[in-house]
This record gives sequence, structure tokens and C-alpha cells, in this order.
Amino acid sequence: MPDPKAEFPEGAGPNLVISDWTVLPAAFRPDDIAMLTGATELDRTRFLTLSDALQEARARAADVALKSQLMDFLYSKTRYSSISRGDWEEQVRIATALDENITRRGSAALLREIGQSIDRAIKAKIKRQLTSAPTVAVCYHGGFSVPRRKLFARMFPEGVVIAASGKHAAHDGAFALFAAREAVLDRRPALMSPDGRFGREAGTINVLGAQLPVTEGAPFLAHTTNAAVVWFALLRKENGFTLEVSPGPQPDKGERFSDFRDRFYRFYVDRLEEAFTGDPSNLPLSVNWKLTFGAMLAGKVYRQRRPTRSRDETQHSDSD
Amino acid sequence: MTRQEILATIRDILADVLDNESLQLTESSTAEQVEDWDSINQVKLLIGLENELNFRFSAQEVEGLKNVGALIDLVQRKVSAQT
Repeated sequence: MPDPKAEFPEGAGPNLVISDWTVLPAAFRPDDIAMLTGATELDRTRFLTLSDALQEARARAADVALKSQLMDFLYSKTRYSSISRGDWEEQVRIATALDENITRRGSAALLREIGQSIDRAIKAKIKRQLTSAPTVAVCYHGGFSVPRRKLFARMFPEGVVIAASGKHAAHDGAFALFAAREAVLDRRPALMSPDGRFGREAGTINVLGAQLPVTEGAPFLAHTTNAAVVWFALLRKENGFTLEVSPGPQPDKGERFSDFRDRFYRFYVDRLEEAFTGDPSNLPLSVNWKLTFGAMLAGKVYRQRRPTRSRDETQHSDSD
Repeated sequence: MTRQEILATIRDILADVLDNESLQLTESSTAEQVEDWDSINQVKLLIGLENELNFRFSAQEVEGLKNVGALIDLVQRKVSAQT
């Protein structure tokens, strides 16, 4: 049996979430994976190749649950208006279905293929960039978020990924933040998504008119470690994927936290709006953002916050 | 340092972090019982203790601290290790 770690050039890191996406060698068949991961009958067939996952995504794109009102709104904002409305929506639907296939039915072999499709020189450059100085990488709950998180963990096995589950789970925010601080100060990058549901709401940001409640975790981490902030994106390219890192703000010497936080969120909003108005083939719509934009279209604000350390969490810990 | 001295240090730092000079803590106090004691303020407290007492916590050490008493235990171990 091949060593599963050896199949990943970057190695399997400590952030690996076994229950979420078990790393198994390609020799395992879907039924073996289903048995070992406890997959249900409906979820027994896992995609072993990107072409299979994409083919299935294309086949069921029309059935992906996306409301026409939301599609109308996002198309009105796109920078790709030279594409017809129908073609644009089809690309969004395929991207969303592909993201679902990778997230819910992705195999280790599929993740490996995604990783290998990324140019080695690009990966090497990003590795150097994110380990040459204290760095906080940020992303969002969209844009192929699960494979992006897995790839980050493999590229930076000593780094920290703050997510809903895993070694540094966001529900234990103090430990996750402290571990991230320790890592970042040691030039091991941390990845987190400020649009996540955990943490105490500290305000809202405006993304294409939608109000998104946010916490202060990510800007606090960058400010307290004097780290560079980067946007970390996994994007479809040709028949595979690529990674893009965009430089963001870094705290100035003596800069007050509130000033840096505001700069941080201006950058974050810019990157989110760039994503939502960008290439439709890289616009898979997650449940979070469907609800966020859906609430805006209904004249409301979608609040999903769950405090990490307060009475509220104790009261609602079993609610979702 | 005695446990009382460590408790007083924790209280003073947390009172500053939370901007609550009337803060009262006991060894059984938990973050859930204190208004605004969230994850960020917990990390600020830990950083404040590091700066005040001149040591560094590791992430493993601060994982799963259940109450102020557990934090006092940890601080005592760190202080003892220094001497």
C-alpha cells in the first residue's frame, strides 16, 4: 500500500481533518472510502478524478438550487457582462455544482489531482512568500473553500487553519487564535475566513450592498503579530486549478487597532467584491453567501454569528 | 507567587482588557460568566500575563483552560519553572 502522505508533495499536515476528508491512497475504491468514512448510501460514490467531478457538475448544473432573483442581482454586478446572461449563469451553476462535488464527494485522489494541477513554480513562490515574514492569509466561505483549506494545510503543514472543525476549530476561538498567534510569530502562516459564523459580532461590512456581520479575530491576529495580510484564493484555470495570493494591509508602527481593522476590512470587501463580480467559472455560491445576498434582496440582514465565549454560546450550543 | 497574588494579577489585566474596573473574579470564574470575555479578550489576557510575568505560554498549554483556577495552576507552573 502506498504511503498516503507521499502522494502529496507538500505532505499531510497536522491540520488534516480525518472525519471531514479522509486521506487515503488512490488504490482505495469508493466503497472502501464510503465504509471508512461512514458515508451514507446516497454519498457512497466519491469522485476520484477532476474530469468526473466536472462532468457530473455540468450534467446537473441546471438543477443547482440558485434563485433567479439572486442570479439577476449578481449578473447586474458582474464585470463579465460581455458574456450573455444565460452563459454567465450556466458557468456559475457549473462552478457551484463542482464545488459541491469536491466538498461533499471529493476523494483524496481528487484533492491530489487538484494540488498537482497547480503550477509547481507558483506553489513554491507562494510558500516562500508566506513563510518569509509573519503572515495572516484570509479567504472566504466561497470560491472552492474546502479544497483551498486542504491545500493550504498541505502546503504549510506547520501552519494553522482556523475553520469550523479540525485541530484549530473556531468554536474554541481562544485556543485557535492563540495557536495562530504562536504560529504567525514563528513565520508559520495562518489561514482564516473572517466571514465565518463563529465569534462575537463587532460590526458589519457592506459587500455589494449586503450587510455582513464580522468579528475582529483576523484583524486582531494580524495587528497583534504585526503580520502581513494576504488574500489566498484557489481558482479554476484551464482543466485544473491555480493559486493566487494578493497582498493586503500590514499594521504600521504604532497604528491603533481600530484604524488597522478598518483598513483590513476595506481590503477584505475589495477582494470579496472582486470575487463576486469576477469570472463566473470561479463563482461557486456557498449557502452562507446565498443567504447573505438573499437576505439583502429581502431587505434584511442575515445574522449567523455564534459567540465563541459567552453565555449565548452556552444557551444555543445545540441549536445548529 | 501565591495563588492570591496570581489571581490579583489576572483580575487587574482582565479588568484593563475589558475596561471594567469593578470586575470580580474567583478561582471558579469562567469566561462564560463574565460579560465580553470572548476569545479575543482571552488572548489579550494571556498576552498581558506573558508581558507582566515575563514568560511565554505555548498554545498547547492554554488549550482547554476551564476556569480562572486552571489558569492560576498554569501560571504557577510557569513561574516555578523560571526559578
